[in-house]
Amino acid sequence: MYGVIEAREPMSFGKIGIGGIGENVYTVHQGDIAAVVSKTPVFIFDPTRENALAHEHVIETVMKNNTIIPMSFGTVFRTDDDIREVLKSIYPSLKDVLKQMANKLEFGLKVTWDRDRIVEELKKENEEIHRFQHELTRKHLQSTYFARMQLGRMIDKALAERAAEVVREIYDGLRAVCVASRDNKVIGDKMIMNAAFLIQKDKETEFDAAVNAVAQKFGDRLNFKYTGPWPPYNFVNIRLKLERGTAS
Amino acid sequence: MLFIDDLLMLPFTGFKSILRTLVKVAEEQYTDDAPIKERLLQLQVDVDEGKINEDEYVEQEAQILRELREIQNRKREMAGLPPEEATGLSGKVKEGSGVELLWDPNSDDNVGPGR
Repeated sequence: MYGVIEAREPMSFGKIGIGGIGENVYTVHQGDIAAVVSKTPVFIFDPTRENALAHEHVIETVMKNNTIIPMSFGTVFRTDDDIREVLKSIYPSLKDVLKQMANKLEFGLKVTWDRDRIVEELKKENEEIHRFQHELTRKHLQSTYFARMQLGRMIDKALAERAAEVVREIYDGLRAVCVASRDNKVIGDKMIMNAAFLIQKDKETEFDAAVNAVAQKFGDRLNFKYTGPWPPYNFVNIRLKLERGTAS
Repeated sequence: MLFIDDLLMLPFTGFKSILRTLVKVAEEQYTDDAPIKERLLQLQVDVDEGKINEDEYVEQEAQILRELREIQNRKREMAGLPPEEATGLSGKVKEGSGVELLWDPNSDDNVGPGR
């Protein structure tokens, strides 16, 4: 199952199902909402890039003309009836969230910097660090373990402060053109921001422009990686407490 | 060697409790899949940035997924479940299921760091 949309009539999205055997993607209905699904002979999908991209591709195809609440990757039900039962059980919250998410898109923004370059900058600009390093050189303390530890800690602290400042500035530049944002955990030590933004569809151009303006402001000191539109993974959550089917 | 002497002087039960702690820590490491998931995320960043090519990605991804599967099976084993769930989900939904928004449509304050 890929997600839930609003639809009364059966739909088909082509032979693009996950699993690499070109299963048809179709809808299973419960009143005016429908689950987007395809058949599969296996119950467990490894989260490989290939499988994840296939799942993603189906959702993107559906998204072109529908508002979709995306299902987490690899959710497999036994039968269409099981899916209808789920839709029926949580129908009111599905309807409500579909209404709230109508005409909204998600975009991702990952910002990285050249950590070494910023450290060099800090050594020059940050008075405390500058003075400490000067002291180290003057007293030939450079090689003592404790002094180096202390310098390292000062730099880490200054880096974190600088990153927080920059991230705040980026958010300030985008606040006016988006509906909501989510901060995700940064990956690796070069990334300082890993955020998702929820945008009103008719504000997409404005959001693009705002991201470009912010990126330009920081020039080559920051590297912006801007992706989307995505289904609103970061802004809705389908919580299903299900009983596992038995093998028989 | 004060430290070792101290250890040797411990009553038998105390020593056993140390062993239990060690076993617990080892078990936690043995069943902690967070670092593996992190490696997978980092790998995706690496291939996006062109640091590694698609072939290298697929190869390393397979290795990481093997480890992940191993840990998940180990967890299931410790919980007394069979190693792999070979059936799909049933439609029986328990109390507390539903869809929720992760932002507040009635608030103007949905954007910013730390959300």
